[in-house]
Amino acid sequence: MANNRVLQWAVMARTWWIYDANLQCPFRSSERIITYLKGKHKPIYHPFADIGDHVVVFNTRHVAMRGNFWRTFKHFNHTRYAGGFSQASAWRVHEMDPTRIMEKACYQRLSGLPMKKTLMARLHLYPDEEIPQEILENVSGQIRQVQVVPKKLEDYTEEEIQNFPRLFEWPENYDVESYQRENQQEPDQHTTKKWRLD
Amino acid sequence: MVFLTRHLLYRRFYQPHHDRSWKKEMQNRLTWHFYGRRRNCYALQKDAIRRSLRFATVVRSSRRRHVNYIFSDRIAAGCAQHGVQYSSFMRSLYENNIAIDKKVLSSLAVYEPRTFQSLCEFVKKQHTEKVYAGLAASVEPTPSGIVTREMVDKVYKS
Amino acid sequence: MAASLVRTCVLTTRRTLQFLRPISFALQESHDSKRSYHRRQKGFLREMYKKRIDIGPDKPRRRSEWINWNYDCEIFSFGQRLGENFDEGSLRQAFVHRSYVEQEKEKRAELGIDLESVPLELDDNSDLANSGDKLMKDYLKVYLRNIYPYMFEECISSVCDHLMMDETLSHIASHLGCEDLILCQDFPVQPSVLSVTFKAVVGALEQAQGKERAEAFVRDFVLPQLIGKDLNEMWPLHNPMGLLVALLSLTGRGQPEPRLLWKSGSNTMMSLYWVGIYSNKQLISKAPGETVLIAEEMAAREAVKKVMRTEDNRPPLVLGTVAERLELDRDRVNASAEDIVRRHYEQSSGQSDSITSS
Repeated sequence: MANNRVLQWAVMARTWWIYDANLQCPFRSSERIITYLKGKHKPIYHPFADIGDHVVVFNTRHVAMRGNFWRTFKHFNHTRYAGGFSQASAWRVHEMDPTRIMEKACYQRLSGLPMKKTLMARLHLYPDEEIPQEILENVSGQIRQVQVVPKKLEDYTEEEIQNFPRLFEWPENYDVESYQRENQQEPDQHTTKKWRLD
Repeated sequence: MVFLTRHLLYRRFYQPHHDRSWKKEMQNRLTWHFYGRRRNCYALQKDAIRRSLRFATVVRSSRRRHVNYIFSDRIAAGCAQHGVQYSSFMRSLYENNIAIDKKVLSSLAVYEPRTFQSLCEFVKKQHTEKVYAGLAASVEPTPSGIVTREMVDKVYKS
Repeated sequence: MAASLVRTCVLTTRRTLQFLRPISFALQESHDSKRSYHRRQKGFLREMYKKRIDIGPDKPRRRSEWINWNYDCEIFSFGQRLGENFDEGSLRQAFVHRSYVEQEKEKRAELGIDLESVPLELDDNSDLANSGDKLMKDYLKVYLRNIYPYMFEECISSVCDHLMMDETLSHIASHLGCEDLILCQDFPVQPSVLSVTFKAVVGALEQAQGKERAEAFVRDFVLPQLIGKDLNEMWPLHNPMGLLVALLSLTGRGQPEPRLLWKSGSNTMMSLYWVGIYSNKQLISKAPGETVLIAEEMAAREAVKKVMRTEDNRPPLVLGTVAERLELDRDRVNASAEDIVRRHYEQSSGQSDSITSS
């Protein structure tokens, strides 16, 4: 039964996928990533069967949240003692641990599953492009990004910026610079003591 | 005091003491798969059985729904491997009078991937034919980027 | 007051009332009392259960030891069930095993009966079994050669051996109901005895209705055992790559080149490799495996399967009414793997000789 054995092995073997989180929404990305963690992309899927794959996510430091979410999205914690509640803005959490936002987004999407901790153990998060070689050798597939990586203003050359069509030209004596406000740091009113960086 | 039947009369003198060992056996039959002391202790078994039977009543109806969800997930996974959406796949099979139910489709996706692939190819072909018959047919003769009212009407009617 | 009066009345006349009640009522009450076991029965039932376990399971007995057994009738209906007209004498002989004849002789010797004056007119089934064995082997090979024309001779003989094994034939014989009819010393009947009997039944059918009918019998009952089984696994092929090299070189195609197609989790315990075998830059076959070597070997096996046209998606066996119209070429002989390998080595050594001499 050697033939059946290897066929079964091929069905049950865990594939390793890679995902580039550069300028991707962590919430929509996590939705796509947990599909692979749970094995929902396989026709043999069953919620109680442990057939999920491994996912390697890199560039988690460069995830992008839409709108005002870096300030308004909160991560909560409760120690289960009286007064043990604490919360922190997303940017604060990201400052402390650049993989935390992605990890938490995936973990919350897996809520309700008895196997969520097992599945989370198969999620490998790296803040930057450096991935250990032994991990990278396992990888054999790529997960499609959820959104197109936008081009930043710095990536355009000076020539392209100059040649970009304009509706009107500022008058030569028009003062643009003095109207720009200084980048004031946001007062972090909603981060409680536990999360404060001193 | 009037006793209407002999049994009611006898009940006054003789009340049979029911043997609990039979009940114990029945409970053991219902709790063999429980964990901990709820499995073997008579007093703890009682509540556990009541709870499990209550769950069983609920699950009896919801089980079919959950099994159906698993079928859908499996078919969707099989479709995704061939670049077809689950909803369009099922719709196309329905429109073309291919009467295969979700249970059989899901087992085809698992055990007969080639058969499932051919179904997906069929669905894709149907889709392209439809596109050419509808929108693409009206767009073709005109230069790109121009939408006329006639074209809209034609698509709307088709 | 009235209640106590009634009570005393009833208590005094209790026995009288019991006599007075109708029989049907008594029956009904006894039926009602069986709705559950009484407490006092607990100990009794437990004791019975223990005793049952102590005694152990019932001794297996021959069907003939039970009631309603008529051997003549059963012999007749055996043929009728299968839709065959057996010669009764030969069918009876087919169910007589050698051990039974010897047992009968011993019995007579014990009783002091002289075998020469009162001969034991009982023949065993070894002759019938031999003729049946020959017919079955011949037919199975002819059938397989015609159905799988590209299958190697070695594979055909190992498939045939698998079908002629005691396990396979005893399985068929016991499901045809031969177990009750066999006359032999041992009980329960051994698989070897069952398989000999099955062969003898085929031999008896050949005697009664001719070769064609017996072959149809083999086709209907023996060949379906192949359904759902992997024919290639029955052939112990130790060096598939060597055979593949010989095959490709003799057919004038390029040497097989194994290439890694895909791998995943190579640093983990659950590593998976897919290896494909190319010849003349064309993919012949591919297979998965836990390691590269296993995957390569499985790919070579897959290639041999493709040569023999016995892949997993091969058409089903031709059986039933369709098989009656098959025109089997009896003299057909398939290619032999051993022969192919030998020819390849002769050729290559001849070439190397010519190279060295020049």
